[in-house]
This record gives sequence, C-alpha cells and structure tokens, in this order.
Amino acid sequence: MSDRREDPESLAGRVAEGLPVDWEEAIRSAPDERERRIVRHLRLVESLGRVYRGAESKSEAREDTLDATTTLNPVAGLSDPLPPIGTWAQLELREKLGEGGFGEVYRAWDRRLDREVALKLLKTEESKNHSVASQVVEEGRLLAKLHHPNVVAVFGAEVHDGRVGLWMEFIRGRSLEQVLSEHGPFGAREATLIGIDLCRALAAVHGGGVVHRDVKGQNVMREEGGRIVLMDFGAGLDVSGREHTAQMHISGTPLYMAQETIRGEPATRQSDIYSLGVLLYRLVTGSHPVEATSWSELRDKHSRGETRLLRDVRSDLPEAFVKVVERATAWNPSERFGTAGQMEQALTRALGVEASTPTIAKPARPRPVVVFGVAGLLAAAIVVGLFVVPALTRRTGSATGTYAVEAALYRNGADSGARERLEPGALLALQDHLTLEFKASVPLHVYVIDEDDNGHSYALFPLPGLEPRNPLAPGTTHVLPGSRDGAEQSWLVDSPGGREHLLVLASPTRLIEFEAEMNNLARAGQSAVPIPETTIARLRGIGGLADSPAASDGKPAERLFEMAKKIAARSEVVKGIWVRTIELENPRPKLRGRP
Amino acid sequence: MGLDDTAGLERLSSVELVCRARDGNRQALDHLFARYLPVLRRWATGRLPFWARDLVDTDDMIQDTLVRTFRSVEAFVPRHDGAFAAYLRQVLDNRIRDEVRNATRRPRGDEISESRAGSEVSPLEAAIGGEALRRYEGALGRLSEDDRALVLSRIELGLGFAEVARATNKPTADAARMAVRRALVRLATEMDHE
Repeated sequence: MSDRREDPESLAGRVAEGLPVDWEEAIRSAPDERERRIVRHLRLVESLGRVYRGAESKSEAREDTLDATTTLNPVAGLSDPLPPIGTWAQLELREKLGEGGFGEVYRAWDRRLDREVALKLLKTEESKNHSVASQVVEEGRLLAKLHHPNVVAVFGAEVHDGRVGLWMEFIRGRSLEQVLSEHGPFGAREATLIGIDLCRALAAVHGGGVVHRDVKGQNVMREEGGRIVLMDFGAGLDVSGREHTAQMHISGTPLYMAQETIRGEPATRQSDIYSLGVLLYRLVTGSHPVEATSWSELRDKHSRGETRLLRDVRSDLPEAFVKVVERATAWNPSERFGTAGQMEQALTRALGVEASTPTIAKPARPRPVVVFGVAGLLAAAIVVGLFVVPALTRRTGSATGTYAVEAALYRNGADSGARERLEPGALLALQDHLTLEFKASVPLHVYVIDEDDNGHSYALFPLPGLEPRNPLAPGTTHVLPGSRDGAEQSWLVDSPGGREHLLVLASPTRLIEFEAEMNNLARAGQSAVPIPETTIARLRGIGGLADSPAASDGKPAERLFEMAKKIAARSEVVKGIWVRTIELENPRPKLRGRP
Repeated sequence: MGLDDTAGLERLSSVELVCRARDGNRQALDHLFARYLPVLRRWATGRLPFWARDLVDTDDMIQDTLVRTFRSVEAFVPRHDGAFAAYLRQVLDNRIRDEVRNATRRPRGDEISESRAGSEVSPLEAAIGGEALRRYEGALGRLSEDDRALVLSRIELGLGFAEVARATNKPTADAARMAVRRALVRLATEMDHE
C-alpha cells in the first residue's frame, strides 16, 4: 500500500467504493487520537458492509461460514502463538506451508473474523495475468457458495496488493498421498469409503457449476478424525491453464488427467471422474493406470490406449470395486459415469449396501413390538425435543456449521384422530400407532431403530418403498416412517416388549457402515405374527412387507447401539452426528385392553 | 394492466408504486417485490442469527413484511425511495427481533445450551461484535434522514451509485458518490460520540 496518508474523507471514499484499505497504516499515520478513532469507526463500517456483501454471495449455501469458527470454535478466539510473518488484506500470515509454480500457501489468521485459515497466494506475475487472476477470483466466489462437509470451505478470493489470494478452511490432517506413502496401499473397502465421500464432494462441486480439474491424492486431505476433504481448486486452474500445453517433465498431476484433457480439450465433469478413478486406482496399487515420464510418452500411451488394468495389478480386489474404477477411468468419456452421483451409487453397491433403499437381508422371527404403517394418518407422538448441534470439529472450523433438529415422537389415535406427544418413559399399548416428526435445517441422513428388553430389534427407518428417503430435505417436517402412494404410514405396537429403546440418529453424511449393520435387522412391517384383520385393512400400503419373515437375535441392535454411542462420542467433535435414545414402557400386563 | 403500464412502472418511485399497489395494481406490487426482495434478503442474512435462520424462512418473512408494510404505508410519507428503504429496513429489523424472541421461547434439549449460546449472534455481531454494532446503530439513528438513507442504500443494501442517486434524489451517480462519502465521515464522527 502507499505510504501517503489518507484523511478520513479519503478513506470514507474508499469504503464507499468498496476498495481495499490498509487500515493498519491508516491508523498508524493518523495525526492524533481522535482521528485514529474515526479511522477505526470507518473500518468498522467497512467490515459491516463487507458482511452484507458477503451475505449476498453466501446466503444460499454457505451461511455457516462465520458461524462455524467464530461461535462454535473455542480455539478460534485464542491468539495464535506464532507471530505474523506478513500480512495480506485482513490476514496475518503465520507460517508458509508450501510453495509451487503458482505461488505460496500460508497458514494465516483472519483478524477480522478471528479464525485460522489457509491462504493460497498467486505469485505476482501470475496475478498480473488478468485471465488467470479473474478466473481464480471468480472460481473462488463460486466455491464460497458451496456447502459440503467433504469440500474445503472457501471463505473468499480477491486481489490485494497486486496479488490474487484465495483463503479457505485450514485442515489439520494428512493428504491421501502422504498416507499412501507412509502406510502403503489401501484396502478396497477403505478406498471405497473414501471414493464415496469424494463422489459426494464432486457432486457438490459440479452442482455448483465448478469443475475441480485436479483431483489427486495430494489434494485430498484426511482430517484428524477421519473426514475426507477435497481441496485445492486454485491449483487445478493453474494446471489446466498451462501444463497441458507445455513440454515438461511430468510431476504427478498429469498422470491423473484424462486423455481428452491432455489433448487440450477443456476439463469437464467426466475428466474429474476420470481423475477420481485414477486416485482410487492409486490408493489400492500405489501406481497409476497410465504411467509415463514425459508428456509425449503420456500422450502416446493414451492414444494407444495403453492402460494397466486394475485387475492385472491387484487380482485380489473385489470385482465390483474393480469395475467401478475401470469404468471411471474408461478412455472414452461417454463410457465413464455420467455423474459423480452415479459413481457413488456404484461404489455403494460395491460395498454391499444398496443406495437409498436397503434390502432386507435376513429372515425374521416373531417380534414383540412391530411397527408399521397405517394409512391415513394421524400423527401420534413422542418427543424428543429441540436440539441444536455443533456439527463439526472445533479444531478446524466447520464446513457444516450449526444445524438445528426438531424431533418429536407422537402416538396417533387410529380412529379418533387424536394425537399425543410422547415423552420419554411414556407407556405404550398394543395397537398404538407411532410416528416421528423430524425437521432439520440441513439435509440429514436419519436412521431409527428399536430394541426391546427381550433383545429383539427392528429397523424403523428408512424403510424400502416408503417416502421420504434419506437424506431428508431440510426445512420440512417429515413424518416418519413416511408414506406410500400418498398414504401416511405409522409404526404399530403389535406386541408387548417390556421396555422399548428407540435410537434416532441423524448425520449430514451417509453412514455406510451403520446402514450395513441395519441391514441385518428385521424391518418394520415384516412379521410372521398374524396381523388382525382390522389392522391389515389399515396396512394395505405396506402389506407386502408383512409377508416377509423376519429374524433378530438381538445382537445386531446391540452392535448398532454401541456403534451409535461411539459415533456420538466422536461426533461431538468430528462428524456432527445427532443421536438420541428414547425409552418407552411397553409392559405386558398393562397393555391388554387398551383401545 | 397492459404492457405499456408495465414498462412505465420501472420508472416510478417506490412510493408511487406503493400507491398503485394499494389501489390493486398487481404489477406494481410485483415491481416492489422485485425491487426490494433481493436487497432485503441480503440485508436479513446479515442480521438473522444463524440458528434462528434455520427456523425461519427468510424469504417468507421478508415477503410478509413487505406486504404488511405496503398495506399500512399511508401513515408514512417518505421524502424519497432511500427513506422508504430505510423504513422497510426498520420494519424488517423489528420483525427479525420478534422472530428471534419467539424462537428462543421454544423448548430445547439440555446439551445444546453450549452450542446454542455460541450461535446466538448474527453474522454482523460475529464479524464486528455486539458493542460495535450498537455503536453503529446508535450513530446511524442520529444522522439526518438523508445521510441515513445514503449509508443504508450504499453500505447495507449494496445499491450501485446510480441507484443510490435515484433513491436519494441526487442528480447523478457522482453526486451520490460524494454524498455517501460525506455521510460516512459524519457517521464515523457520530460513532465517536457514543
């Protein structure tokens, strides 16, 4: 910035125009204390205007940006022990993390919002390239609108002091490439789980109108706690702008590039999917499907279709996983997955879990409490309460931020239409119809299971064939278990079970392993117990399920409860998973005779 | 309404549009919504605490506020559109306070108190602090109607200088630019008197 002193009116002009101001210099050079205070007030007004302008670009998808760190992250309020090594805009540079052809990456401190961030600064010469600079800034703004736990939260991008900067969430963890080099190739299951998270990340990125362009092991972080985070969009821009036209030694990234991108065609969703396929290939093999040491060699191999098949390198891998990777890395873009979501589905199937409607895996035996649906209506209920949950780690800030959950369990009068909210410990009766009302501020995957004192357990939600399915849309009160063909269903208490333990679990991300365990449970609506005619009449909506035998030895649910507890304990800090258990009395003697 | 009327509505002030809307002109009402919904949405996003935003549909709240204001605006005769925008902002601010009060009365679980307490603040408070925000609000309230409209139009609502000029009856965008600049100095001076 210039050393020329600017008076308050001049500074006010810059604020009005939305131009950057070197406030430290302005305060320092003020002639007296009163003017220093005036300058500080102007700075405050400028901050205020910036928040409003920021709200404009972030209001749709990134409303948690400020919240995640300024209000939920206790670490954020602490001063950083390292002295600044420089400043850029409102950021104090604390530590240089890396340097490349494009510029430098710093760990920095946002003085305005009191949070730790990672700052990527383009080199001065790069920043002078108007095309690159405007592309980075524009893409940064697009990314700032994204809101996904598997995508690094970008806070902003702008030009300051002649340099383009992009600042984002600071992730503590290790890149997949580091993990690979330290521990060797991954197993198929772990790679699949990582792939699923990255598919979700890419789906969010693509949905936001952005192509990543540089999916690779170095650009995916495994955060402390396990969250997989896709990073480093700016480098992708840089690479796509230059490397494919240069005759240079291959440094790694080109080996992730699809043949059409290497030939100079623009990066697309399909080229991102190709790169993700290469990443999965590399995770399980330590190598790439097309290896080369120069651009010309790489181009030649691609043109000849010289690819090392995954099944030739790792013949021990599950066929389903191999097929996903081979399809993702198909030479012809049209033969790859059409979307990241399709690839996620395929990976999920490879894991042995059906995407949104888990199938019933085991036959069931008679159960004491079965819940299932009744047409028409009425909510019944119990409740769980209103909760607001901190969603992600305190250590790193959050991509998910705070979300609110309202959940209440109701008992519905089957005929009268009466509706009663059930509190924990409420007394159940045979033929009670129960529903759970659930509303959240963000999309959540919800799971409901029930276990009774006899050790019998049931999966109550999600149920095949019913709507809604996970993830539940935000801002809407969902009445679970849902509806079929427009007819609302409810869970029916069809036998006494002593005490019922309902577990309600909600997560911003899908819990694949939990779903796999749920598949071992009997499902509501399945029963070998004869259902009274009157009930059958009300159950036409899911009558098909009633014919399926179900079995449960009680152990799967115990595992699930234990798993949920562990997840919950972890989630307070890492995953933002919301877990509640509700105990309801369902004693044998008292149940008889209840209408 | 015919097409000619629609084209003409673009040039009308907000006050004139309100009058037409009250007379049953649906297109005038649509124009008012189109004119104010985006800026008020942006404004409300900065004002609503994060947790309350989860519980309140911001667009619904703004639309409801606009409709109520348009219906009852007889009692308020603004000098210009900027003053009208300031009036809308105040009405919306009151509505947000009501929503927040209502939301805090709702039941909640025990273990959320810590996180809830942390998210009580709005993005503005989080960014500049509650004390600073009150200082700003106090000073803004003591400015002249014209200066207040200038600051609100440019800083809070993010209008371009041409729009600021139209909203505050300035002859040109440059005149509005200068006026905003001086209003900001007066605002900062007033903040120093807190």
